[in-house]
Amino acid sequence: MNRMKDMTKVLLLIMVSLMLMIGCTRDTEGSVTIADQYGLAYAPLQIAKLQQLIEKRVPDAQVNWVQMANTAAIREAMVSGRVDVGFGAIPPFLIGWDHGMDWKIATGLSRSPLGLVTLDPELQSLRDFSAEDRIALPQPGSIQHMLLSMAAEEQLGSADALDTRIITLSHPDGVSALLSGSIQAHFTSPPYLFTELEQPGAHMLVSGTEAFGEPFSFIVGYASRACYDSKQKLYRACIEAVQEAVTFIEEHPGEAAQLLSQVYEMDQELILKYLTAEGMVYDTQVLGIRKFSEFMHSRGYIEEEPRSLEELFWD
Amino acid sequence: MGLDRRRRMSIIITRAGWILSTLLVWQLIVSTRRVSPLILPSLQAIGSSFWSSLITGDLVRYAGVSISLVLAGGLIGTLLAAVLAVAAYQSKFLAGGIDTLTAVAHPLPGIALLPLVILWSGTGITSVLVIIVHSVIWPMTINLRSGFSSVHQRYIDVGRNYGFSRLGIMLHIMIPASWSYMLAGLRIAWARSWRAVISAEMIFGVMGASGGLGWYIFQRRVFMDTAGMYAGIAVLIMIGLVIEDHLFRLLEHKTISRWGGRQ
Amino acid sequence: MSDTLVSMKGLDFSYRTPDGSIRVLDQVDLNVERGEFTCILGRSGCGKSTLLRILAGFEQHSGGSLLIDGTPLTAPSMERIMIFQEFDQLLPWKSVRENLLFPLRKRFPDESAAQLHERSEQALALTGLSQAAGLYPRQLSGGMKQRAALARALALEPKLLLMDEPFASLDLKTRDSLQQLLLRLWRESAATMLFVTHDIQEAILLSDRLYIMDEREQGRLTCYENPLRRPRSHSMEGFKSFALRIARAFD
Ligand SMILES: Nc1ncnc2c1ncn2[C@@H]1O[C@H](COP(=O)(O)OP(=O)(O)O)[C@@H](O)[C@H]1O
Ligand SMILES: [Mg+2]
Repeated sequence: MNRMKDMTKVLLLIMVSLMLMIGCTRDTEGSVTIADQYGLAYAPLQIAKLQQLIEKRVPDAQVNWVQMANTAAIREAMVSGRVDVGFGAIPPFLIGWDHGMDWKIATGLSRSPLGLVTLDPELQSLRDFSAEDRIALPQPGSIQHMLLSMAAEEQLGSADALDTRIITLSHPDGVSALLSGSIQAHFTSPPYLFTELEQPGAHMLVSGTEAFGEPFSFIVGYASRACYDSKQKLYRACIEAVQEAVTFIEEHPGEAAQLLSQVYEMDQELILKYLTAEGMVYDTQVLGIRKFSEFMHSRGYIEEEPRSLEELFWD
Repeated sequence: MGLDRRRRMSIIITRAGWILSTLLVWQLIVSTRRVSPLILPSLQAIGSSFWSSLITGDLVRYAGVSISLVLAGGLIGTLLAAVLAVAAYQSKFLAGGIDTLTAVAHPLPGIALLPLVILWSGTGITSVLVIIVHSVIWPMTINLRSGFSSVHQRYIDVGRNYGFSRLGIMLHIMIPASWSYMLAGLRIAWARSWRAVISAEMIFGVMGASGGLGWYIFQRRVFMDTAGMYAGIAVLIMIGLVIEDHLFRLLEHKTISRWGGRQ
Repeated sequence: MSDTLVSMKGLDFSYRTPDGSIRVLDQVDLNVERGEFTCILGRSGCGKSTLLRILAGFEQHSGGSLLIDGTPLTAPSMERIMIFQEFDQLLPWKSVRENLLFPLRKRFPDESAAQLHERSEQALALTGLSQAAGLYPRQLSGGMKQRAALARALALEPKLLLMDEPFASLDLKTRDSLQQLLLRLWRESAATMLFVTHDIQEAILLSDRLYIMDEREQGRLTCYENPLRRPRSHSMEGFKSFALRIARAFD
């Protein structure tokens, strides 16, 4: 009987502390937490951070930048209220939206060359993959996965024709796996894409634009309702800061490359080359969301299709 | 026998008590509606996700893949560990090398080796096996070696008296006599390799037929099926409990408790 | 013309330790006649166990000659089975029956399972352990464990049984009954017994021939013929006086 009593006490204690913790996760109005990921497509955010473009607009603001490994982690952090604004591709956003996450797109950030790279001269099209060949990409449901599915549907007749060959690897692991020959193809983005394409014999089996058929945003920014409703000033500041950074890179690529070379620990010349590479466009316009949601809905990756763009955009 | 059954019943009751109470607290928190179901889905949602994956056979298949990987890797790792331990026992010179190797490799988490493993053995089953073998071989080597050194000279003399060769003494005397150490090693090896296989599957899962439980959970996660994710984790926990509370205890009951404490 | 099973002449033995070697046996002579019951009596630490271990083939002597049945001893063999003082000599992970069967399979590789089973059951019956065949060693008393060790040894039909104070850790009553059991088994088998003890009474009760080992002279053995007729008892005529003679020599 005593044990029962002890157990009840412990459980009550756990419950109360959990409730308190949950109550405390919402942070204060004067601060904003922004989550991004690694890669050149996020370059404007690095500029905004280095040049304190948000602090410039809201001087007493506390801006927290966090870098996360993938969009799933950002999504989870936003659901639990630890992140206000997150950056990533459109498909993971639609998956979250479909599952009832209260978030919308705040801004576009970049378009970027993407592609399925191979070093194998035998592989010239998607048709050439044998059952043993492995294709690496960051995760199922990612933009890389959706683009591959679109290309597979177009060229092989079925969206999931290549799914059994997919393995998930982070971009850097994917690069070393491709170079060591343990995978045959890698669907990736800059700077990894450029690194791979510089290898002798490297060629692209399908590019993002070929797969999608029209220009599309690679990275966009999403904001939670909590942030949009109760931190209007900071929310606006973030969007304006992104816009300013995007303009800065487009107008002063050399200066931007100098700033970024510290962040990415890469040679300044190389960064400049990558920043100005064909297809690398920093732009707050959001492109391609209709096509993504139609495709994902028709292939069952999302259950509901957005009826209007208002459901997906804050402004 | 009766005592042991009673002890096992009491373990089951204690476990069930705590688990049920935790579920109760869970459901209470869910019912306050202060937490998004994307963080804490209701038990009904988890239950129905669990049930639907169970009847389609998905969960069993995924769990089966992980378990068979651990079994295969565990077997290979144990055999290799036996080879190392025997070699170290037979030769002082080799013992030095094996000592050093163990000291270097044992503290390395399998996941830390992942980038290297990808380079050497690719991203298939082999790599997962390499990581499991790594998590099994070192604790097993360490335990086997302490087991061997704990075997009393008298048992070895008995074996020699019956005309057994060095190998025969190994098989018929040393290994059974150090069984309690082996069992302890197996417990550690199981815990480490189960963790390793789940994490490895999450880091380089394979779509399609050959994914394991880690992959199942990861897949639910990237598609934001939180209830499915918890269902996968629940299976993970159940397997852990069954193996630790029942399989290992049963093994211990059938062997060490029957033979009596230290040999 | 007697029939000598063990013929040991000028045997030397040293233990090598990190601090140098310790001479335990120096120029030791010993004869064991076939079928006889020979006892070695000596204080603890004088080298009795060492001598038996050499005879079992567990240790290599450094000098002198040691012949078994006229051939030099080289390795352990099931012809010479050792029984230890310590109770933990049965393999704890095997039942009593399995403890017997396991060396029997190796000793008589051509026999069928049924024949081997027959052998083990017989040995167990002789030692009064039929009921305990299925038990594990930890479930046995000390006396039963030594009986089982005896059964296991005799089932192998060795030429020579090497016993290293097998009853020294038993209570008096159990020891008495095991001594009687051992004598009975000896009479019924063809085995030659070499029995080490530090107990004068035990040596006199059991032996045909008795050696006293001298610790001051590195294991030098002195031989005494046992004049007592069998069956013997502690109260029989001549027992006390022989015991007194041995005791004097022993000091
Ligand atoms: N493995 C060993 N290494 C070194 N010295 C030993 C070893 N075993 C026994 N001795 C020594 O040899 C002597 C004889 O030992 P032992 O034959 O066991 O005597 P006993 O059986 O008569 O008591 C003792 O002094 C003992 O300390
Ligand atoms: Mg001794």
